[in-house]
Amino acid sequence: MHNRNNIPDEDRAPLLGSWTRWYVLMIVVLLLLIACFYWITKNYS
Amino acid sequence: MKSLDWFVLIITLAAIILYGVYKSRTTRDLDGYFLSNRSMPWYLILLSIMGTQASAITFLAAPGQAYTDGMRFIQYYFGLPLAAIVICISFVPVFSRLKVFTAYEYLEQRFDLKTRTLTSFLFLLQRGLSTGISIYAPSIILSVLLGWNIYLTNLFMGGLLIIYTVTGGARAVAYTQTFQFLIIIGAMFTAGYFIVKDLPPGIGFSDALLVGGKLGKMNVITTGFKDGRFDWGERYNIFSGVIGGFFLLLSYFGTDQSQVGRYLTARNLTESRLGLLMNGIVKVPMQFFILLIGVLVFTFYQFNKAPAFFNELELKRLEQSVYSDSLHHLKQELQSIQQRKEAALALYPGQQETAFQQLRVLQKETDAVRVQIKGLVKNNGGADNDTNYIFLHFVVDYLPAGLVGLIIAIIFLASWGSIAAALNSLASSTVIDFHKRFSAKKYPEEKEYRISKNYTLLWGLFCIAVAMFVSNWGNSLIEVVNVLGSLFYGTILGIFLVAFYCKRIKGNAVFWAALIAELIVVLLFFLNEYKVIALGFLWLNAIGALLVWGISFLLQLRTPLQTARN
Repeated sequence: MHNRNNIPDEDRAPLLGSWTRWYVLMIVVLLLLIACFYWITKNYS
Repeated sequence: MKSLDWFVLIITLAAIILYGVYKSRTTRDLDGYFLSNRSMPWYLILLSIMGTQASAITFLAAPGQAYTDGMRFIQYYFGLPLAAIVICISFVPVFSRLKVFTAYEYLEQRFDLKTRTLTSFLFLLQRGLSTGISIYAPSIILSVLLGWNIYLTNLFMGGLLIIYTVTGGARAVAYTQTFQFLIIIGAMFTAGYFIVKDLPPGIGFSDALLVGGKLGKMNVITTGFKDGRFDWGERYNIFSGVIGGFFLLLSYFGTDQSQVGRYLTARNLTESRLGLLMNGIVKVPMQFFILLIGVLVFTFYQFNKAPAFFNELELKRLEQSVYSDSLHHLKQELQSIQQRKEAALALYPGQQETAFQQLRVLQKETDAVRVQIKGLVKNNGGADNDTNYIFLHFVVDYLPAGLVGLIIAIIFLASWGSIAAALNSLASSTVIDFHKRFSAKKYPEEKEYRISKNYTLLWGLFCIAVAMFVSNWGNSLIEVVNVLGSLFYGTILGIFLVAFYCKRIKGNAVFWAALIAELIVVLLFFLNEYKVIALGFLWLNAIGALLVWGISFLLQLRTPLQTARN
């Protein structure tokens, strides 16, 4: 089974449309976490 | 433990075993036993991956780690989201397309039989030994704290899970891990709630973090630079976490069969990828929360008297030794410091800065006394590291009846989650990479299924035997399980990276490069142990992988020249 973008259904990225967007999301989440942890370090130390 | 604790403990463990046996129904062939017929959705993959990674030590040692060293250990996990991306791009599609049972099968297709066999052997060696230690590490803590016999605890820790792991294979492992993980997270949140609740009136969650932070425990982000120079020997900072952690976790999730075996059970490529990516997102905050419990326990003990040493057994031995007078004197010193701490904390929050200034001085005095006590324990022939006992000591002393039993249960469950996955992967590698590969006979599916069950049982018995054997070696082994992985993971990862990204490099070059790299990694490890060089163990992963890459490249350059001359 293939969808209209010729990607097999079993390899389709849910919600965000492509896996590249998922990978960007991962990096953004990591950067946000590091920023949040940096704030915690500065604020509570 | 009280009767209610025993009741909660027994009911929880029995429920898991019965649930595992109930979920054991699968097809009686290798695909059903090792890969659950490739039928799992992403959320089961996610929980199974998390359950495999989080051993009992994660929940016992992490709060103790934050108590003694602060939150900076979290940086070790910063490499995980990056590793998950690389695995999703390069590793998972190949494993999925080739429909392999083990990651090492791919290496024979890409290189040759000897490279596959070497890599699988390195995995079996490392995983077999570390699983034995994974049984022993929580057992020794429970036996010391609750006075249980270490050999019986080992047998309980490693023996009961064999029932459902042998019976149900990968399917039982995945379903029980899901159930176990939900119980573990629930219990840890409840423990966190009770720590904050037991703080003095007027001291809330934010106050607890501020007190812990002002005493150096909220060091979540550290750079590793001291006096303008980078400290390569420091174990946890943002650079060793992102770079060293990336290589270690890339190797663990991409090439360790105990993890690869989890996402190979997914119903398709999308479900495998989603499970891995979600783990990358969820794991860091979860580990942050577990470490935070350690900071809360630390703050709790600023307001309450802490034990002189958290390993009760060693403390009792010390009291009966020639060092008892020195210990008595140091205990009195701690008592005096505690009284002054309580007086300083009475100034909070009105005269906040004065209170923190006094507390910092008093904490330094506490640390100095504890170093002296540890010295006495060491002189008395005992294990001077009590980090792993801190959280459980607090649990047994201060948490309500029932919850103590539940926390003890999660030690078993967390152990079972990772050990069950390890046994399943050890058996799959033995059957697929050795027994089936080197056997001249062709067995029917039913026979292969029974052989696989036998290997699972044999590996279970082997790991319990390792746990029994190391029981006489002392507590330092608890650390070994982390370092052991770093000794082998770099080389294994290097082989896979060459396989995926250097198409011109062939089997002979990578095989010899792997052997040379492994020798160099072991040499570097010993040079660090004997203080000839300063190198945090996380760096060994990156070095091992890069060595395989570099050496195999050089060897491959020589090969065509030699061939031409010949």
